[in-house]
Amino acid sequence: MICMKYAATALLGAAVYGAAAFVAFAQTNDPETGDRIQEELAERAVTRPLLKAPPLGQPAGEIVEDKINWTEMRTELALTQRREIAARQSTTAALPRPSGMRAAAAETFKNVALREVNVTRLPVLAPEGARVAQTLKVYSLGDSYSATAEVENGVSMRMSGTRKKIVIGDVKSARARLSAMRDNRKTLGSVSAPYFVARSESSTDLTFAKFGAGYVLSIMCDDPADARCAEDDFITNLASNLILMNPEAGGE
Amino acid sequence: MDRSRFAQRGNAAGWLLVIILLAIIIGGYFWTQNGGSIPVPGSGDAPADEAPDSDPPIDDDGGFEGEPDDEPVEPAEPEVLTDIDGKVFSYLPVGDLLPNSGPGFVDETVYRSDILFPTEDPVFLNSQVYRYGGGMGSVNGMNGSQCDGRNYDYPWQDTFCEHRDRNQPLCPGGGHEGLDIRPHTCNKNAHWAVAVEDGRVIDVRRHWVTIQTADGTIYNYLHLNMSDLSVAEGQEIRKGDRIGKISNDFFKSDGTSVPTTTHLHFEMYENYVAAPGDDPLFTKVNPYMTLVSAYDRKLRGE
Ligand SMILES: [Zn+2]
Repeated sequence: MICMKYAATALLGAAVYGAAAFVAFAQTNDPETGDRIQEELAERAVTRPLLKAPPLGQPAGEIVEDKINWTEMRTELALTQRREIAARQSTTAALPRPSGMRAAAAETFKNVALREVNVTRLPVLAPEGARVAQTLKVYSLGDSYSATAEVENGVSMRMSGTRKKIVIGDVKSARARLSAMRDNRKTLGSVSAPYFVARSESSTDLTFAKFGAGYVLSIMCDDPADARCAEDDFITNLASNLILMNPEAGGE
Repeated sequence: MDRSRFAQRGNAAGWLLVIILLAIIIGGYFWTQNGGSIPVPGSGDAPADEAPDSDPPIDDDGGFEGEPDDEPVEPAEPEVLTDIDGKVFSYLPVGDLLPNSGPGFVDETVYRSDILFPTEDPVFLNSQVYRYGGGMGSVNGMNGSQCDGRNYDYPWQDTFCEHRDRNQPLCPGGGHEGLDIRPHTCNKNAHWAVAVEDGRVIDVRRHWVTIQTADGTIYNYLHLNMSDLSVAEGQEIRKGDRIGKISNDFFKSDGTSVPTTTHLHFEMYENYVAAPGDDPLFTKVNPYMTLVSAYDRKLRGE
């Protein structure tokens, strides 16, 4: 009899436990949605045949290289100089320093290796700033380069340029993107070039094309919600005063 | 005595008959429930991928005499691409994101047709946020842990322009301008990320490593094990060189680490034009089809 009692209790316990486990299972697995989505994904998925596989996607076209317009680079330097002289001679009190692109010899930056700048076959640009100057580093790949630095507490930057362009051709989505971005572009005071700002999880990017090269200035905020990354003002101001580390380059 | 013995024997025979009948009824029920195959213990609730239906049925003792034993069927030579784990590689079209996870961005471009895939081992491209173990998994009924087996399977799915808080023009409403790559096991610091091209390490900071090529292309590798990288800033690297192990590093401004899921977040910048002579745009692009193409070549051993 005792055995029977135990058995009944055990059975009842198992039933209660089983029911509880089933409820928990039903809640965390939600077969109505999660599993259904999984099935739908599997149905839409594409496999790849081992033999005679069709080509994938839309292959990009050739990589082209435009001539760097070194004359335009020197003209921009001269224009900034002229604006500065005009500002200094102005009788109006406290005129703000004009934005622009200024020459700054690579030797003046303690962390910049001269060789990196000298082997770069495009204008080596970076934003101006006391903290940037102290921490600036340049890495060159000849036809492209990147400069990295701390900008302020909590903000670092990377400025990259390249003279190589990839032709993506007549892709509808890319065309739409290019024209949408073009429509958005404003003109950057420092180099009188159209630009636009894009923002994502890992950085805020300001893009412009100048002197035959493409440039992107990226800022990374320790706190992505930081207004310096979340709004356009900070990065636009940063790109409004650029230093040129190889003003003597060119002559190709 | 004899009569009673006979009666006992009759009783026993009757019980035996009942048992046999019951066995036939129960056996028949399972037979129809299993579509004609013999039930295999434990196969009832296993996920479909773990119970391949090409397995020859297991012959129970005393079952279905008279039925010829099935010849053990050699699994047919797969005619589709599989990975080294034997899983069939499949992927969803570019821009086809999970429901409720963002607009996506359709871009079929294979920006680089000669890059190496950025990992050594098989991987699953899928959402770290909107699937099992992700902060938003519940919106799709995908509650669970990041190590849930359902995260570790094909098909691949695009996560470019997956919804994030920050607003930006390419992904309306804010988005994720990279792809999330899950290694084939849930073990962190076990799977290598490698250089997709020859280039140079131009930045090592917080939880990312940045590589640039001579063409200007920039690749960002996020969430590697930053305390044990195989490369240093400024270093020149060759295609295939190991960079670091895929981990979950994610550093906050105060230097404290907040682990994310174990995955590689991969980004790509290109300087591109629609036609030669145009002013270029140097931006992040969707690497999805570039990676599908690189993985396809990897699985073919090319
Ligand atoms: Zn990501």
